[in-house]
Amino acid sequence: MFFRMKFSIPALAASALVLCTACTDSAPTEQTTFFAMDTAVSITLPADSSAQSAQEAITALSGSLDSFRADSVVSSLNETGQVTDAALAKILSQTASLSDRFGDAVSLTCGNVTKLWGISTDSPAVPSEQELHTALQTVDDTQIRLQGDQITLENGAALDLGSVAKGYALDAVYERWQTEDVPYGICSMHSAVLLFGEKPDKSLFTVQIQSPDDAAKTLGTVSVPACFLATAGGYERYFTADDGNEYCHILDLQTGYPVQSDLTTVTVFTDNGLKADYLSTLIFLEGTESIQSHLTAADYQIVAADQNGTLYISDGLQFTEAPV
Amino acid sequence: MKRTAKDITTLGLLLALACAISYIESVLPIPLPLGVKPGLASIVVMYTLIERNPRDALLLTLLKSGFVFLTRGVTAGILSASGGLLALGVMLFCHKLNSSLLTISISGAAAHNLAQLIAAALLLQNINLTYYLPVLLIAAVISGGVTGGCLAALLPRLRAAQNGTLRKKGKEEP
Amino acid sequence: MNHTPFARKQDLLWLLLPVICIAVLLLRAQSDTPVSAQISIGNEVVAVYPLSEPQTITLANADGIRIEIRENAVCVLESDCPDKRCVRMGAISKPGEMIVCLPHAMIITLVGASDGADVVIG
Repeated sequence: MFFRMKFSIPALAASALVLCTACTDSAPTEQTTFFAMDTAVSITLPADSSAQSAQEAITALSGSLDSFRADSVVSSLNETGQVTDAALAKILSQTASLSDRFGDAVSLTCGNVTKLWGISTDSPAVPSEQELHTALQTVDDTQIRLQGDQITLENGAALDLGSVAKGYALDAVYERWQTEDVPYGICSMHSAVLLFGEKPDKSLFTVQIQSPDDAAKTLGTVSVPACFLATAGGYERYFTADDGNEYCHILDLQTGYPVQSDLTTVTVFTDNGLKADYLSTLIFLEGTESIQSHLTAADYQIVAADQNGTLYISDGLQFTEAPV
Repeated sequence: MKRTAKDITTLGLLLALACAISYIESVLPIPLPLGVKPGLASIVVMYTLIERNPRDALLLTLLKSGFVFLTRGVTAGILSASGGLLALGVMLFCHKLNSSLLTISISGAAAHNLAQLIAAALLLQNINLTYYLPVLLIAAVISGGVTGGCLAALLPRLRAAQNGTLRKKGKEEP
Repeated sequence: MNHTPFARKQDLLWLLLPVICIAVLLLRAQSDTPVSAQISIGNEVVAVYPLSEPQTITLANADGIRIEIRENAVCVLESDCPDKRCVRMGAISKPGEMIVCLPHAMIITLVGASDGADVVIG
């Protein structure tokens, strides 16, 4: 008995150690998931990097940029007409440059209109013609005045950053990861994703694009190096109203109603998060009419599908269609 | 039904024994699915069933599940109760049919594992656990063989102990 | 008192049961290699991870559990459940195999062919 005890304990300890080492691998990654900006955020990083800074950045922005939260910077701006905030000013000036180039189909001054619809709240509803008409009067980019970090809104304009917030959050994460020298990482906010750095095996990132009709199916897979991507259409927020119709949350700011686009989904790949987010919404709103100019753009690439199932893919994008 | 002091103390000893065996088994790292264990505590239950009476065996099973519930939580308690009760029922049935010890213990072990599988499937709301059936049945045959064998070896001595005729090997205890 | 014998001749039939079970298991083992790990809590699938990306995961709705995904296997590294059976189960590597944590009502299974992508957008 004594003989056995003496040898069995070390043997057990040795095998326990061996088992422990067997459970780890070279270059493992860790994934952190949490909720922010009304979505499940998932961050994948090498095990020795921390997701904390990225998580803090996103959570902070989620709080300050949400126009539906009473305590956010945006709400404060919407109510009082003036606020000083560096991040918000940056967002507005970047969006302004994009609007100079692409027109005003996407506008951040849609706050009054989106509030009427309340699609991401607990009580979405179809507003009346009258209410919409009044709200639409305040949709006007020229009502935004920027002086350094000071922002002023005029004539009752109100902001809703829904079309760029996630993209901007990804930009913030990008900056954090640059300073921290993170070798590679993926930050996914479901409809907007940051692919950062280079994978240890030097391979490209593979992105699966969900089919807009069926979340279990894919349209196809794209292989890309580090970049930002954002999707509009597809499985985004919508609600079914009392009248039985489904209303999606991308509003046509000419009519005040959810857009009736002939595109079912748009995914944009580019070098800036806010730009990707903005463009995905813009192209979705425009539909197939102006899609040619987007397909040939030099600084971004897209994958889009229309209601007939036709796919629009930019040249130079490695896209593999999924088998039917 | 009147119980003598000897009865109660013996039952108490059996219960303690069953609980101790059950506890030790639970901390042993056996890499079988769903935590399948040798089920050595069923030796005690079988002994009680065969040498005493079914009522005592039932009492033992219930109290043992109570012990598991208190020490290892609700889920463990439910599994212990479901496995123990079905096993007891099946073992009683086999005993009435005058089956051999081996049959009783294997059937008991199989019933125990089956009941635990069903309980787990209900708790998880997932019927796919039937994937585990073959492994559990193999384990039942093996553990049933072991417990049945143990009991067969122990029975003569246990009976002698009850009758007061137990002699230590090589020594005569006055 | 009736002295029940340990075994009778007919008890040899019990040996058939493990034989049949082993046959079933061998038949099952001939299936395709797993490509992703599917994690469900209660009735709902909460996540699917491709096995091609080794990583460690903490689930959002059961943050006491850390799951490790390797090249061809999945295991639970640690769990805050009382019995820790899921941890002691070790790794699973074949489709259909499961790791179960009853207190969390969590099941991890390995699923066959799908596109091991890095991320899904839609």
